[in-house]
Amino acid sequence: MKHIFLSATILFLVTIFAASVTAIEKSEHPVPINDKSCATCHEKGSTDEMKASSDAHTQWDTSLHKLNGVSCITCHGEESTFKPQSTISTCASCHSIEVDSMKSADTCVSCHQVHTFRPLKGFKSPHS
Amino acid sequence: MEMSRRNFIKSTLAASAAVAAGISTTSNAVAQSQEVVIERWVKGVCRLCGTGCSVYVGVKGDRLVAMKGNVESMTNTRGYLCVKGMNIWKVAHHPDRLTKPLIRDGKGVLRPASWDQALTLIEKKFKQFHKKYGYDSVAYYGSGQCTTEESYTFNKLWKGGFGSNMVDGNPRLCMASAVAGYMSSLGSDEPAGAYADIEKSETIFLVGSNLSEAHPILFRRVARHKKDNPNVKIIVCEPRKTLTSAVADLWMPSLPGTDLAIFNGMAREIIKNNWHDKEYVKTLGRVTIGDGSKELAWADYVKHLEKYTPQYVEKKTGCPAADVKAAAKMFAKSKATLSMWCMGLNQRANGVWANNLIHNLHIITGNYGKPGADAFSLTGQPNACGGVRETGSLAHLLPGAKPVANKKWRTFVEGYWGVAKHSINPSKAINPKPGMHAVKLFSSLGGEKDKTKPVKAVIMSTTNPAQTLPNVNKFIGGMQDAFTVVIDIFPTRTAQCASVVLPAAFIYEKGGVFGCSERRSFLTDKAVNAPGEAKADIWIAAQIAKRMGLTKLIGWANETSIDRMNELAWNDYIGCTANTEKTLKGATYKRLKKSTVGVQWPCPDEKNPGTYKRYVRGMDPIFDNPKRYGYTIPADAKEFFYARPHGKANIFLRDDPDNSEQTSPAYPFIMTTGRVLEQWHTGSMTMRIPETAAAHPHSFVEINEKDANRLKIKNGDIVKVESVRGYNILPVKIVNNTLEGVIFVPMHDQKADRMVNFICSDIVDPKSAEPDYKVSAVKITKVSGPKKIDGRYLVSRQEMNKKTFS
Amino acid sequence: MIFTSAVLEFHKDSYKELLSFIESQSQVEVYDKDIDAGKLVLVISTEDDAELEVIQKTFHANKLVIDFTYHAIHFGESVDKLIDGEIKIDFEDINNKKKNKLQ
Repeated sequence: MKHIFLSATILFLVTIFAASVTAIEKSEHPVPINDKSCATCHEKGSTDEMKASSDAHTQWDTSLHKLNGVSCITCHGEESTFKPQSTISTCASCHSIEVDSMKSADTCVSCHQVHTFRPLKGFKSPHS
Repeated sequence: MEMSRRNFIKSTLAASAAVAAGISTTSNAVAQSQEVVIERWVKGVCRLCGTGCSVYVGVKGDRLVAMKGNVESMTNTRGYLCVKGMNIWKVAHHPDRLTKPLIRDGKGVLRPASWDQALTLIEKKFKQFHKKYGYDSVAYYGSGQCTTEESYTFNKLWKGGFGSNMVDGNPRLCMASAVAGYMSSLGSDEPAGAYADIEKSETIFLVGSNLSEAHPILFRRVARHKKDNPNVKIIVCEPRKTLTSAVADLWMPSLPGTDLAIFNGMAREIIKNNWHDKEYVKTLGRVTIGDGSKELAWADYVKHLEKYTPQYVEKKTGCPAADVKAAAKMFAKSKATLSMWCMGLNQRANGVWANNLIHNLHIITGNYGKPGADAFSLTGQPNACGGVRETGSLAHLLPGAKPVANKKWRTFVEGYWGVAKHSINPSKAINPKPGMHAVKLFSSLGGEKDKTKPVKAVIMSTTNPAQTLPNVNKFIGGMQDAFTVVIDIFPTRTAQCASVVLPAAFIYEKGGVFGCSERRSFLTDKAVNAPGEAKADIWIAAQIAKRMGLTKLIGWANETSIDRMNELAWNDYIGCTANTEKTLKGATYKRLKKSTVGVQWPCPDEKNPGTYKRYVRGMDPIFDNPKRYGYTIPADAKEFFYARPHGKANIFLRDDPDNSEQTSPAYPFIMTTGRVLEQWHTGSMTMRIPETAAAHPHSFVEINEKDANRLKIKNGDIVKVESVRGYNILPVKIVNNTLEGVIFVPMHDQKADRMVNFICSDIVDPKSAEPDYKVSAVKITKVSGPKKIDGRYLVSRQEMNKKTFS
Repeated sequence: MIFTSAVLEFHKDSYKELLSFIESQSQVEVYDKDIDAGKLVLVISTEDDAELEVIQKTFHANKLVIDFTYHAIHFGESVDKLIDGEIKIDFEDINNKKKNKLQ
C-alpha cells in the first residue's frame, strides 16, 4: 500500500467522520460527485476511476424500491445533504405504519436487508 | 482516546461497511434517529401532482421542518409519499422566495413597492382598460394549484362582477380534452369511479400515462395489486417502454399521435369475437357521431370499425397486430377493467376523440358501474379538478362545471351571486358568450399600441405560461407588452415578463381546499405564516374586488383572517353547486376541518359519507332525489348516466385522422414531451429542492440506439433538437426503450436553450383547445461531443430584470 | 491508532475454519456476518498503515478468502489533531503523483 493511498483517503474520511462521529445525522458524500449519477461509480462493472462497491446498487436494482422510484437520493440525499445511513424518519415518510409498530430499540435494518428491503430470515414481523 | 469513543468509531465503521455490503447491521451505534424535534403535525395535502396525497407537515416554531404521509389516507394508502412529496416542504423557506410586491419601472427594472402602490396601479390599469377597450380586455389566468376558494373568488369576480368570461387556467393545457371527453361520452365531467377501483380490478389498461414517474403513488398501488394478485393483467400502451411497463403483461408501443387506431382496432376485435356486453350496450349505450345529437344504429358502428383490422393498426401505429388482439381479449374478458390515462391522450390534436374511444371500449364491455371498472382520467395538478373544473373557472364554464352558454344555469348563477345588483358591467348579467381559451388568450394579449391584440391586461396566478405554452416564443412579446400581473412564490419566466409581481403565500402558509383526480376534496390547514409581505391569493382577490367596487359581490372581501375568508368562500361555492351532481353541500368547512380523509362528491348532506361510484343506484346519492338536480331517472334503473335525458353513454364513431404535425424529410423525428419522477412542471419548486434537483438537474433528449447509430451520436453528445418553431441544445441519452423515430425531452428545464416548449407544436384540439404537446416534428444535428452541462438552472431575481431569457 | 472496516468475502462452507484464522489475529474483530451471502464485516485496529498492509496481505494469501476490501478508515487521534491544526496534509504530495485507481 502506498503512502499516497492514505493521504488521499484521509481527505475523504476526515470530512465524513469529523461530521459523522460527532453528529451522525449530517455528512457529505466522501468524494466529490461532480454531477455524476450514483450509478456511474456504484453500478456493477463501473469503469469509473472512483469505482465503488456495487453491492448496494445491485441489490437495489432488483428491489421494489427501484420499481417505485425510490432511488439513492430518496434515502441518502444529494451531495450537500448526503448521509451514509438513512434515518428512521426517512423510512417513516412512507412506512410510518411499520415504524409505529416497531419496538423502540429496533431499527428498520434490524430485520430488513438494507438494499433489497426483504425481511431477513428468522425474524418474526412486528408489523400488523 | 477513550474506550467508548473508540468503540463508537469502530461500530460506526462496521455499520457503514455492512450497509454497503448489503449485510443487516446489528450495531446500535448508528441507531436510526429522528432528525429534528417536531412540535406539531398539521394536516394537509401534497402540493404537487393530482393524486392528492394526504400528508402531515411537521412544524417547529414558525417553520416547516418535515413531512409525513397520512396513514389513514384513501389516496396514498398506508401513507406512502414519493420523493417530491416528502421533500416539498423544503421550498417554503428557500432564500429565493418573493416577499415584497415588485413594480417594473420605465427602465424595465422590477422595483420593490408597497402593497398599496401595487394594488393602486392594478386598479388604475384595470379601470382604464375596462373603459377604453371593454370588460373583456382584462383577463384572469389561473391554475390547478390555486385553492378552490381562490379560484372560485376570482371566477366570481370576473364573471359575476365584471361581466366577462375572460377566465381560463392552466388545466386547459392538461385536462380540457378529458373534460370534453367525459361531457360528450357520459354527459358529466370527471370519473365515475375512484382509486379504490385499482385494487378491485382484474385488468388495468394504462394508456398515455407514464404512471411510474408522473403518479408514483398510484403506480405503487397498481404494482402492489399486481404483486398480490398475479392473475391481474396490466396493459401499457405508450411510445416509450418506461418503468411503468415493468409491471405490465403487455406493452403496446404506438407512434405518438396514432393510438386512436389501436382503440378502434381493439373495439373491432372485441365485437368480432363476441366479447362485448350486449345487454349493457342495449340498455346503456347509444351509437352516435359528430356532436352526439344524431343516434345511429349498432350496425353503423360495426361497419365503421371494419377498417381497423389488426394489420391496419400495426401499419399505422407500430403496435404488433398480435398485441392488439391480446389486449382486446384482456380488456374484454376480465370481470372488471380499469383504464387510466393522462397527458398522453389529453395533450393531443385529437385528444377529445382519443378520450371518446376509451369510453367506447368501456361502454361496449360494460365496464363502468361495477367495482374495479372505470374509465379514469388522471390529473396532473393537485386542484385542477376541484378548483378549476368543478368551480367552472374556465372560459366556457360556470360553477358546477356547466357551460356558461346554458341559459337556465346561467340565470340561476346570476341570481345566486346577485349579479343584477352588484355587477359593475352595465349589462348586469353574466356574458353568455364563452371567453378565450388559454392559447387564444395569449395570442390576443398585447400592448396598447398593438391594435390587433384585444386583451390588454392579465393577472396570472401560480402558473408559468411563459414557459408552458406551446411554441412559447409566439407569446412572450405579448406578455411583455401587455399589463401583466404575476402572483407567485418564486421568480419564474412569466414573472420575468411581468409588469407587477405579487409575492404569494405557499399552500401550508394559507390553507384551503384541493380536490384531486378522484373527486375528493381535502382541506389543508394553515401551518405557518407566510414570509415577509407574501399574501394568500384570496386576500389579493379581495383587495382587487374592493378597489373595483365589488365588495358586496365578494362577501368575504372585508375579512381579515384568511381562514375566515376561505370558509366564507367555500360556503358560497357549495351553496352555489348544491343542486348539481357535483354537490359538496355535505362537505361543510367544519367537516373538512375534522376530516383526515376528505370527501368525494356527490355529497348532498353531512350524513352522506361521500360517493365512491357515480351513476349506480345504491352508491350515488343523485339517484335518491334526481329531481332536485334536474334529472329524471327511471325507478327501475340500476345504472343510469343521468346527465342525459336518455340516460345512455355515447358510443362515438371516431376516425383516426392525422391532425398532429407530420414528419418530413427535413424534420424526420417525432418529439414527445413529459415528466420525470423527481421534477414537476417548470421546476420552480422541485429545482429548488436539493435532492430532486440533483437527481434531474437538466433536460436531455432520449434517442433510440438505432437512430443514434445512424446519426453517429454517442451517449452524452450535445445535439441540437430543432423544429420549424425553435430549438434546444441538449445532451443525448441513448435508450432502447423507445420506438425508432421517436425522441423524448422532459419539460422541466428553465434554461432558455433547454426549454422544450420553444420546439413544441401549437396545434390545438379543435374541441377542447388543448395543445398537442405530445407530437412535434423535429430534426437532430450533432453539436459536439460530451460536454459539462450546467444544471439546475433557475431564473434569478436579477434575471427578472432582463428582457431576454438566458 | 488506525481503525479500518473491511468486507471479507469467503467460501461459505469454510466459515468455521476461517473464523479460527481470524481469531488468531489480535488486531481483527468480526462485527457483522451474513453467512448465506458469504460475507463478513471486519474492523481492524492497527498502529500504522504498515501493520494494516501486512494484515491485508495475510488475508489475500488465504485460500478461504475470495476477496478482502477496505471500506473505510478512521485515523483515530490524527483526526482530532488535524481538526485542531496540529497536523497539516501535504497536498503537493498528492497533486504531483499520478492518480491511482481505488479498489
